[in-house]
Amino acid sequence: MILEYSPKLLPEEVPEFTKDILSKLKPFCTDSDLLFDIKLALEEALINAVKYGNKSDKEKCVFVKIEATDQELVIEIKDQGQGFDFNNVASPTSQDNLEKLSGRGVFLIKNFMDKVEYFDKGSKIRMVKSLIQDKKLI
Amino acid sequence: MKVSNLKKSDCTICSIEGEINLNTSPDLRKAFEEFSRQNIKKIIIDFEQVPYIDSSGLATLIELFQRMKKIDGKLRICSVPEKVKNVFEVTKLHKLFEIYDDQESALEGF
Repeated sequence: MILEYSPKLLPEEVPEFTKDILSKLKPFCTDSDLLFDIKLALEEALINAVKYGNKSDKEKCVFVKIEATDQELVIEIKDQGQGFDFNNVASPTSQDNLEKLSGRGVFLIKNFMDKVEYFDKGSKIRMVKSLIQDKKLI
Repeated sequence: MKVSNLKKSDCTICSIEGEINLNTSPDLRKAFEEFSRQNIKKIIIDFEQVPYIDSSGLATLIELFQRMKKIDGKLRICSVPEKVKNVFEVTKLHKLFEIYDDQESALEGF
C-alpha cells in the first residue's frame, strides 16, 4: 500500500492528521506497542516539518509518502523549509539539557523508529519501522 | 483530555485522563498554573489514564517541575503506563521526575 498526501497543515492540525494516517495503517499493524512508536515518530516528524520547516505558514505544504508492506513501514516527510543541520542536534539527555523545554522531537524519532535518514539538507526525513514483530504476535 | 484534582491533607493528587499532545498540552499547562495560583506545594500527577505523551507534553511537565523547584515544592508522578514510562526513560526524564508505581507508594513519606 502506498499513501501520498500534500496537505497545508498548521501545527494544531497535526494530531488529527496523524490519527487519520494511523487508521489506514491498521491492516498492516495491530500491535499497540508498535502503533505507539509509529504515532510518536510520525507526529514529531510532522510537527517539525510544519512548525520548524514551514514555520507554520499555512500556504506551505508537507509532502507525506507512506509505503506499508507486511514487513515494514516506510514514511517520508518533506517540508518547504531550508532544512537544518541534522548532524549537529544537541542531545536532550545530557545533564545540561535535561530541563530544556524543546529539542526532543528529533531524538524521539531516532529512538522510536528502526532507521532514520535525512535528505535535502534536512528538509526531508525518511523513517523505517519493521512490522515483523507485529506479525509474529498475531 | 480531562484533569481532576483531589486534596489529600496537604497534597494534591492530579489525575489526567487522555493523551497529552500538542493540542492538549495548553490545557494541562493551565491546570498546572492553577497550582501556582493556589500556592500548592505538594503535587502527585497520576498518569494511569494517560495512554500517550509527546515532546510538547514532556515540556509541559518540565515547566511544572521548574515551577515547583522555584517554590521549594515537591512533585511526584505515579501509575505511568509502560509505553509512556518508556518515553520518560528514553529521554532520561525519569532522572528528573520522581516516578512511583502507584498513588499509595507516591503518597508514602510525601
